[in-house]
Amino acid sequence: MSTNHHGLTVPQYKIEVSGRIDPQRAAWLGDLDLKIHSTPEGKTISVLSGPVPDQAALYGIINRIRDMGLKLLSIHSMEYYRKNGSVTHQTKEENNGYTTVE
Amino acid sequence: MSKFVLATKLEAPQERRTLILRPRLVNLLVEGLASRLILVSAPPGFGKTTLVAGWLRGIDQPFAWLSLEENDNDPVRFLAYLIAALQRVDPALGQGLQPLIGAPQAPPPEALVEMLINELAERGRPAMLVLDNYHLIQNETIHHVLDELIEHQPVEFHLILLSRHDPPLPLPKLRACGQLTEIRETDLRFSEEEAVVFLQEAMHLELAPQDVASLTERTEGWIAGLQLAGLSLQQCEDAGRFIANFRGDDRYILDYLMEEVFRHQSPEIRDFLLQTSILDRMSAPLCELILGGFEQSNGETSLSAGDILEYLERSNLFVIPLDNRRELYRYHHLFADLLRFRLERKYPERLPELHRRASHWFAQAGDPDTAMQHALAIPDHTLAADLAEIFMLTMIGSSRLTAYQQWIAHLPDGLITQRAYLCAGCGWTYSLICQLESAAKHVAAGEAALEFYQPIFSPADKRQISREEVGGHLAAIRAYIARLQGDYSGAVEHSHRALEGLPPEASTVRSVVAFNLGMLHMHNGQMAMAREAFQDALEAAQKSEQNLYIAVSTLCLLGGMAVTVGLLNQAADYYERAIQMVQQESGLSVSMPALSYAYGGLGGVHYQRNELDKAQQHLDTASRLVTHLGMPETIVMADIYQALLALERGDIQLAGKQLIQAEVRMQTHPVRGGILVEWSVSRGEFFLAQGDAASAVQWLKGRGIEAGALSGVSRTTGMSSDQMHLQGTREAEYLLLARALLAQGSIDQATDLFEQVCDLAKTTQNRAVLIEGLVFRAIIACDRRGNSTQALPYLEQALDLAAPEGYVRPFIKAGESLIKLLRQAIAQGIHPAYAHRLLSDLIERERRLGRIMRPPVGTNGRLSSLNTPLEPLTDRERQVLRLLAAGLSSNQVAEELIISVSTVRSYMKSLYQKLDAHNREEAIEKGKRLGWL
Repeated sequence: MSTNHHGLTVPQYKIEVSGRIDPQRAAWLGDLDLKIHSTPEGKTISVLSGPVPDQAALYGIINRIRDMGLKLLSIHSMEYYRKNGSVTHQTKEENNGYTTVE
Repeated sequence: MSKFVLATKLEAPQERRTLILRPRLVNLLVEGLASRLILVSAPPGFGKTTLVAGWLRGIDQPFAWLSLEENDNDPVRFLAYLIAALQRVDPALGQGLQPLIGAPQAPPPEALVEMLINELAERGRPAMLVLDNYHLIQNETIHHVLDELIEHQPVEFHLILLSRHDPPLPLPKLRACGQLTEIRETDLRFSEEEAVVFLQEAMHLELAPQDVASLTERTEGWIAGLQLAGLSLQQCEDAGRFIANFRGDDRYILDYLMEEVFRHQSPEIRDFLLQTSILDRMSAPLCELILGGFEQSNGETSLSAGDILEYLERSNLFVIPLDNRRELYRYHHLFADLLRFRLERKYPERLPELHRRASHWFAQAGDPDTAMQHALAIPDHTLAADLAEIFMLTMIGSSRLTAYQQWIAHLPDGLITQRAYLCAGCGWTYSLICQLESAAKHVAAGEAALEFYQPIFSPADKRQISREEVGGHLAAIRAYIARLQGDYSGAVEHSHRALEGLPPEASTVRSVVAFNLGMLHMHNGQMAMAREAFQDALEAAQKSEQNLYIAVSTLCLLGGMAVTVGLLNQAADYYERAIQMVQQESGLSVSMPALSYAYGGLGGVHYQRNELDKAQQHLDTASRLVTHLGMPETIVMADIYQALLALERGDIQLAGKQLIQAEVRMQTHPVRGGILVEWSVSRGEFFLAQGDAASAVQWLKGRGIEAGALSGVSRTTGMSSDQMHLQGTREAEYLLLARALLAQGSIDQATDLFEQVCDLAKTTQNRAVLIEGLVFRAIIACDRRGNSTQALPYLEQALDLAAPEGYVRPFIKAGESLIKLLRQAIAQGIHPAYAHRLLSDLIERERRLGRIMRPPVGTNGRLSSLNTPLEPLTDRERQVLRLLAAGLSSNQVAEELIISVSTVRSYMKSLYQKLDAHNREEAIEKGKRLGWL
C-alpha cells in the first residue's frame, strides 16, 4: 500500500462507471488503474482502482466523471470494506461475476 | 467591459482575527514558486484562503487575486476579471486586450489568453495570480484557458489555485514532471501545537492540554470545527463539560457546533443571520433593505445593520470583510450554507420576498448576474424574464452569451414566446453560438408576438424600447442567419430592414448590422455600396462604447478599399484614425491585433510613396502584432510587404526568405482574392530584381497569366468595375508580365499588353497599375521614336494621377530610362515640382541599387544555366523543401504538415535524389536557383 509524503497510508478506492473509458483519454486518472469488465448481461463497466489521497482528490475524480457524461455506478473505500468484511464477499465472487476483458 | 468588474472580487480577503503563523505551509508555498502550479485543494473550512492571503500580505511582492463565484462560469466575464486582477499588478497588462473582450466578432478566449501570455512573457517581471474558489468553475472553455496558461506561462509567472476539489486540469502530468506543488487536507489540518496557538491567540481561550488534544482529535484538525468549538467555549461556563459532551456526541460536528453557536446569539442577531444568508455579498444598506418591514423576533429592532455586521466580525462569527473600508462582507461558505438551511425551515414564506428585494437591489446596482441569480432562486420567471429583457443589450452587446444562454434556459418556452423582445434576445444568443435552427424559431415567435408588444422601459439603456426597435433586432438576426446560410440577397434585404427599425441609440447592434452588410456588398463586388455601409457602421460604432473592435476593423477595411482605387491620402487617413482610436481607448498600448492591418496598410502607403524608413517601421509593428494571432490575410500581407521592402533595399536574400515565410504560412492559413495577386506580383518582382525575366514569365504562366489571355478577360465578359474587384485585381499581374516581356526584348508584345493593362486599370480604377502602365508606355514611346513628343502625354497623365496621392513607386520602378523623360517634363512645366521630387528619388535609388541592377555575373540566379532535373518535384516535395528552407527541422516540418517524421524523411530523400543534392543546404541552394524557393 502506498504512502504520502507524511508517511501516512493513502486510502484505496474502487470506482465503477458504466461504459468504456478510453485509456488514451484517461490521462487525468493519475495513479488509478483502469480495467474494463463486461457483466454477464453483456454491459461494459470501467473500473478505476488505486490510491486517492483525500476527499478533494476524490471529488475531483467524481466531477471529471460527471463532466465526461459518464454514469457513476459505485464508489468503494477499500479500507472501509476490508475493515467491515464486505470485500471478502466480493473477492470470493470474483469481481461480482464480471469477466475481465482488458 | 469594466462596467461589470466588481473591485471587491479582486481583493484578498482580510480577516481581522489574529493570523496563526504556519511556517511549514509557508515553506511549501515558497518552494512551490519553482513549479508551474500551486494547488491548494481541500474541503471548506481548512483555511485555504486565510493561508494564501496571509502569506501574500506578508511578502513584499505584488499579486493578483480573484475570488471566483458561480457567475464567473462565462469565459467573457472570467477573462474580463482575469485581466482586471492582473492589472492590479501592472496596470499596463492586457490593456490592448480589454477592448476585445466581449466585443462583437472578437477572437475566441483561447486566442486572447495566448496574447495575454505573450504580454506576461514580454513583461519579464514576476507576477502572481491567485484564483480562489476555482471549484465553482465548470465551464470547459475556462478550464481550457487555464490549461493553456499553465502550459505556456513564462517562468516569472506564478499561478495559485484554491479549490475544494481537484480541478480538471492535467494534474498527473504536472505531478509527474515535478511541476505541481500541492497543499492538501493533511497539510492543512491543525496540529495540536497549532490548535493551542489558535485557541489562545485567535479565540482567547486558555484550555488544559488534554482538552486541546480532545478538541483536535474530535475535529481532526479541521479549522472551521475548531473555530466553532472555540466560539461555543467562549460562551460556556464549564469548558470541561462542554468538551466532554462534544466528544461523546456522534452528531455531525458542524451541526452540533452550529447549534451551540447559534443558540448563544440574541434573537435579533439570529434573525439577521438567517435572513441575510441569501446574500453572497452584503453591505449595511442592502441588509437594511432586505430586513425592512419584516416582523423581527424581538419586536423592535434596536441595532442597525452596520452595528450588527461589525459585531459579527468582531466576534469571529464567520463574516469576512471584502474591502478595507468594511463596507462589504460575505459569510464563510460553510456558515452560509447552514444558515440558509435553517432559514428555509424557519421562514419559508419570507424567502421569495427576500430574494425579490435582493434582485431589485442588484438590478439597480447594474449587476445583472446577481439580480438574475436571486430571481431564479425564487424562482420568479416573470421577474427573470423582465431582467433578461432589461439587460439584453448589456449582455449580448458584450458577448456574454454563455451567461445569457443559461438565463433563458431557466425560462419556460410559453413565457418567452409571448415576449417579442425576449425572443430577440434568444435569437441573438442562439445565432451567435451558431444554433441557427433555435435562433430562427425564436425569431419567428418574436415576429408573431410583435403585434401585442407593449413598449418596455429599459433602465440599463435609459430609454423606451419601441416596437420598431424590436422588429429591427428580429430582422438583424434574420440577416445574420441568412448570411451564415449563404443567402446573400436575403441577408442584404434583412439588413436594410434592420437598419430602418433600429434607432441610432441602438448603436452597438446598428454597427454590427452595417458592418456585416458592408462585408456582404464587398464579397458581392459592390464596392460603392460596401463603402456606404462601412461608413454607417463606423458612425454607429463610434457612438457605442462597446464597439472599438468594429470601429477599428471598419476603418481598416475602408483604408484597404481606398488603396485598391489608389486613394492613398484617404487610406492613410483611415489607418491613422484606427491607430489613434485604439491609443485613445487604451493609453499607450498598441497591442490590439486588429491594428496590425492598419500598420500593414500604412506600411504599404509609405512604400508607394517611397518613404522606406517609415514603411519599414510600420511593417515591423504590423509583423510584431500579428505574430501571435492567426489572422492569415494580415500575416501574409505583412510578409509580402517586408519582401518588397527588402527588394527595394537590394537585399535579395532577405526578400526570398520573407516570401518563403509568406508561402509557408499560406499553406497552413489559406488566403484568397487580392492577397494572392499581391503575392504573385511580389514573386514576379523578386525574379525581375535579379534580372531573371524568364522565370517571371514562367511564374506568371503558372498562375494563368499569359499575354493572349487579357483581351478575353477585359473586353468580352463586359464585367463592371465592381465585379472585377471580386476576382482580385489581376491587372497588376498582367502589368508585371508586360514588364517581364519588355525586359526580354519582346517590345511589340509588351507594348500591346501595356495598352490593354491601362485600359483595364481605368475600368477597375486601379490607380497604381494605371500610373505604372502609363509610365512604361511613355518609356516605350520614347525609345522607339527616339524623341519624347509621343512619350510626354503618357507621362503627363501618370503625373496627373500620381501627384495628388503622392505615388512615387510606379515611377521609380521604371529605372534610369525615365530620368531623361522626367527632365523634359520639368523643362516643359509638366508638374515640375512633383517631377523634380521623382527625379531625385529615382537617382538616389539607382545609386543605391546600382550593384544589383546589372545582371549577376556567372550562373548565380539564372534558371537557364542550371541543369533542369529529369523529374519535377511533387507538390508535397516542394512544400517540404520550402519548410526546410525556412529553417524548420524535420520534426517541425512533420508537425507543420501533420505527417509523420518518417514520411518527411522519405520526401526529403526523394527530393534530394531529384535535385541531385547530397544534403539539405545543397537542396535548398538548388531549389532557389530553380526559382522554387
